[in-house]
This record gives sequence, C-alpha cells and structure tokens, in this order.
Amino acid sequence: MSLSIDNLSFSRDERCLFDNITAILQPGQWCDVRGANGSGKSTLLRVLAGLIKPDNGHVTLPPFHYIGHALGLQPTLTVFEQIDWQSALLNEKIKKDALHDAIDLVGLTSMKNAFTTQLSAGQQRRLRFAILHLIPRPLWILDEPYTALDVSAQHVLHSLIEAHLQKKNRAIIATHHAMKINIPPAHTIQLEGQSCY
Amino acid sequence: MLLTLIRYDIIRTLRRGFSVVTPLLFFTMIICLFPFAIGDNARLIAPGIIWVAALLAVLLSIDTLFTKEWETGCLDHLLLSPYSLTQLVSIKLLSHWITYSLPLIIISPVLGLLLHLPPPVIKTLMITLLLGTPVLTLFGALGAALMIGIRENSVLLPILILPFYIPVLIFGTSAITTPGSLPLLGALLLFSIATLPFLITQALKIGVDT
Repeated sequence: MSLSIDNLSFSRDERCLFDNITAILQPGQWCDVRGANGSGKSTLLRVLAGLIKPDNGHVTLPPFHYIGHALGLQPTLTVFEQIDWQSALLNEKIKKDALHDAIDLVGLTSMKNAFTTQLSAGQQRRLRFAILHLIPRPLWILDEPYTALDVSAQHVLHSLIEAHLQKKNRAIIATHHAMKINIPPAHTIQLEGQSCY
Repeated sequence: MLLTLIRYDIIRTLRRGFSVVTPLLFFTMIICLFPFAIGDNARLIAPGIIWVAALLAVLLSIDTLFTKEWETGCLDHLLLSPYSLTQLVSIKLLSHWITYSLPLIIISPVLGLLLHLPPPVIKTLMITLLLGTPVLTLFGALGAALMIGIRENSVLLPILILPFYIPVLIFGTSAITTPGSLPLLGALLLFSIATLPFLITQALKIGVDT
C-alpha cells in the first residue's frame, strides 16, 4: 500500500493553518510533524485520518490507527472490555493470550479489571498503546504521544514505534519536542510560518 | 462482531448508574400523579397521559446520546471503523431503545391498570407504544446528532425535536381509539427506519468535521 500526501491545504475561520503539504512515505519510514501549540498539527492529523475534509489536496493512506487528544475510550468499560470492544469495532479477532500479553507489555497488569475512569491519564494512554500493539495496522497516526507519559511509559512507546517501523510499517507523529527514537524521521513537516496564499 | 458491539453498548448504558432508571421513574411518576390531580376523570384521558409521559421520558433519555461519544473521542473511532457509520448508529439506537424505551412498554400495562384501563385498550396501547417509541428515539437521535459540539444543548434539543414528536403523538393516541390510525403509525415507523439513520450519520459527520 502506498502513502502519499498531495498538495494538502486547509484554512479555518479565514486563518490558513497549512498549505501545499506534500509528502511520500516509504515502508519503514516515519514523518515528524512539528510546530508550536495552535499551529495546526492536530488539525493536519485529523485531515489525514479523514475526519476533517481538506480545502484542497489529496491523501492516500493504508489502513491506520489514529490516536488523537481525546483517546476514544469508553469511561464505563474495564481495560479488558475496552480492548475487546475496540477490536470488535475494527472487526478484528484477538486471542485471549495475546490480549493478556499486551496488557502486561504496557504495564497495566494490576489494572486489568479497572474501569477507564479509574485509570490515570498516562495509564489511559498505555491502554491505547496496547491496542496499537495488538491490532496490526501498516500506519500509525499519533498526535502528541508523549502527553502524560512517565519515563517507563515513554520507553514502552519508543520500543513499540521502533518495532513497528522495523516491520516495514509507517508512522506519522506530531510532537512539539523531538521523539527519542533511534530511527530518524524521513520527513519533517514544520507547521510554523507557512506562507499561505 | 456486531453482536459484541450491541452487548457493549447495553453494558455501558447499564453501568451509568441511576441515570438509567431516571426516564422510567419519571414515566411512572407522571402517570401516578395524574389521578391525584384530576381524580376519577383521569381514566378517560389515560391513553393520552401514558403517551405524553412516554414521549417526555424518551426525550429525557436522548439528551446525552452522542455528546459523551463526541467528548471522549469515541465518535472519531466509530468513523474510522471499517463498518459504516450508519450501521454503527443503528446499533447504538437499537441498544438505546432496548435499555430506555422497552422498560416503559413493559411497565405500561401495570400503569394502565392503575388508571382503570380495560385490558383490550391496554393491549392496543402497548402496540402503539411499540410502534411509536422507536420513531421518538430516531427523531431524538437526529436532534442529538445535530447538537454535538453545542454546549448547554439540553434546553435547545427539546425545542428542536418537539415539532417532530407531535405527529407521532397524534397517530399514537388516535390509534388507540380509531384502529385505522395504527397502519399510519406503522408507516411512520418504517419511514423513520429507512431514512433517519442515514440523516443522523450525515449530521454526525458534519459535527466531527467542525
């Protein structure tokens, strides 16, 4: 599956957020989306995910996982049920063993039967990472993945992303500080001071 | 897979605690209060009382149908699912109807007896509620979908959807006295099932896009 972003433009309320964004990612590569707060990183990722229509341009993506600011977790489901629900929503069957392994991997073993509302912000992110790990998708679109993560969660995230890229998959990641992974980005989209006409 | 989604939808609603029974309690309270206020005459307008109470109870339950999904970001994931949003919305509405409207229909014979309704009338009343409440849920869901992203929408929503509820109320109550109206209520139900899930989907997509 190919990944290309072609001439993407978007403006809102007369304000241009980005213009003429073009990128192609090969298998195993990742794209770093940089910019200050309010520069339109999240909007760009939502446009890429197809949640917002761009003014101009074209996006071709393989099947992907998207993690936005709101994590999309149901407050009244337990960690275990949450993953079961998400996999049903994605029409994927997952094995019980794999599910337990993934929960262990992201360090939520003791919280297996806790409701999402009982998890801290960082633990909720860890839960999302378990889903990333369990259900393979050739592309990950991650919006500020460092938010609310402690050091051990950051390590989990780094190893997940590195393993993902080593399997010839791709990622588009928006951050405002550098990702500490061993693979340098193949592309950097800088979202400040875009000239928009 | 779709059955799993229905199951979780119902589990989630049931875990919401006391708010699950609020519409049912509200429904029962309105009906129980009428005989005190009107006296023996309440029996003459009993079908109307039950219908108005059911309408308000459904309206009460519909308020948070999509706002929570939108705030938590779950709506994004419904949109990104390989299933069509129309399918997922239909599932959600079905489970909503099962958890909120079905209990009203189940308890309605008891309340009918409380208002001295004769058993044949109670039977017709239940049929009209069975046909009518899904229409109320569907139109309510359309209103709720249009309202996502608007804060303090709990006042606006009833104003927006009440005009659509009036035909349902008219056909629903008249079907109890004149059997000829029952097919009309059925037609209204089929029309809503055929068109509204699609319209709700479009409204949700617009809501997410902004």
